[in-house]
Amino acid sequence: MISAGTLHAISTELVVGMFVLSGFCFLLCMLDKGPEVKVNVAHWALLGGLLATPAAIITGVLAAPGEGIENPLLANKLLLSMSAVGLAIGVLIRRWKGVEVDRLHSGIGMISVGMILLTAGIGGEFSRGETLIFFIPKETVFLFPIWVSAIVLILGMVILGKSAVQHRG
Amino acid sequence: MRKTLIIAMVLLLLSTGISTANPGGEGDALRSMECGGSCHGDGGSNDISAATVSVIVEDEVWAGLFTTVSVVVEGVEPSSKRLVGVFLLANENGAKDTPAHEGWTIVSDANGGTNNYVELEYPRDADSLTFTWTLRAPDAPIEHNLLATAHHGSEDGGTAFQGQSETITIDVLMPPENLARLAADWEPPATRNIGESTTISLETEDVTSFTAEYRIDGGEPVSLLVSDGSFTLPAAVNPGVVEWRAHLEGDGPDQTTVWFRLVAAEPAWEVDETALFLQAFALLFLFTGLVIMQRPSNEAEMKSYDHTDQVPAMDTVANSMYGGAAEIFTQPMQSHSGPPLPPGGLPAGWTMEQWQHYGQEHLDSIQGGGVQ
Repeated sequence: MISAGTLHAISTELVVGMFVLSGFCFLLCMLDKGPEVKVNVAHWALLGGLLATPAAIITGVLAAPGEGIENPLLANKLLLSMSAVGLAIGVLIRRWKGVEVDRLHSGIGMISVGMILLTAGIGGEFSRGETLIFFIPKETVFLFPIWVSAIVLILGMVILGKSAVQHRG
Repeated sequence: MRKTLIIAMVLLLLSTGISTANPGGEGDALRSMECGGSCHGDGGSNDISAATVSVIVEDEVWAGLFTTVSVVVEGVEPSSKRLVGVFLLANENGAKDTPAHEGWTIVSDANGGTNNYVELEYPRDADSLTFTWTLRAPDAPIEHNLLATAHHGSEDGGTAFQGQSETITIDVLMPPENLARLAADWEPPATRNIGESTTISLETEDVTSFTAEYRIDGGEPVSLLVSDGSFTLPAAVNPGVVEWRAHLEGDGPDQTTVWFRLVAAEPAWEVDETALFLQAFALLFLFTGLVIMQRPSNEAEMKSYDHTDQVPAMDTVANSMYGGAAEIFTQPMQSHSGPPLPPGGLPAGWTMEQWQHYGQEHLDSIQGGGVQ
């Protein structure tokens, strides 16, 4: 039987590989260089990375020692990866709505990719105690009070709902 | 530009070194030694360590009861992080080789977990490092094997080293039927927080009474007060290990248990997971919404209204009437300079040249009632 750790390594490489490809294509979009196919590659790779992300999260939770989230690194990993997923979903929906791939769009895509790479860096710090990203907060977690999170959640849903109505209109 | 990029990429690739070591370690885990090539245990890429690895365990143990296995690693020259990892294994196959695969149950490892791969820091002033496991022996009363491999880096950090112990054969015997023993489903605590005393209630079989004692760092045992089948270990002030054992007495043979290890550590970091997950989903929705509501930048907006490239003048194959830029369309237009042609076209017998010169005169004569 393959351990959750090995499956996590596989799914993580899938996620990071797809996101890196996407990020490189977004960079080309931003610089307005390279072949026209870069726009499609950037978005399809982003979608591929997004689809593989749940597998990475689930296997990561199963592979982590202990029960629940017992390390600030894991908490930061969760917050960062969910934020990155939010940005990536936004980029894809924006593209689906036919918005031009401009510098802003490419920039948001690259930020999403950067956050996923940062998440992978935290994984290295958590599992092996070392990472190239030296500035990762190891003991600090910026945790909102529940009421703030609830307001932010409602705000996000309202923005999404409004956007959906506008799009339909 | 392209050449510069290729040269830069080649230089970057050439600048990488070849390293098989993971100086930060892999973390404690329950894993087979080869672990899919993702850890130190990939024998094909490791050098042989100068370390001596020994497994210390009783030759004979009771089936289903507890026993202690110690792995002593000596003569290690570790990496700057001084991490040494040890696998406790049941065979040399490289896969399906954990003690669990042979029926052993890991009750506690050297760090208080239940893993067969454990990492410890090799002390600077010590000649050896001991890894201790408490195991519950398999139920099958047959011979079983145990061995250990030690893994560490090197000073320069480039190579992973691996050392292996001899394989030890252990005779697992059926215990006497009325042997005073701990209950089959009872498990000792393996960890606790600093500053907290620990009360342990023993569950036993064929036991009429028992005494208990503890020791610190292998020192002199100290007796514990047993009351109603329980005893309390004093709180730990610093991170470390307290060992305890019990002398079980009953109608059958008495038994002294192994030294059980209780690892004291800083309290685990705690977080309100509800708040954390709520915040995570809030951020997901917020960022998605914020991205979607972004309007295209001015540049893109201008680009969407700028159709210069679509005007006929830019179309090199368009008719010259619309300003086509191709050479064939830049010829001067053939146009006549005379009066407009009558509805029926040139009068019969006229040429265009004649019409240009005499056409107006012809029209005037018609309007004036003259006859051609």
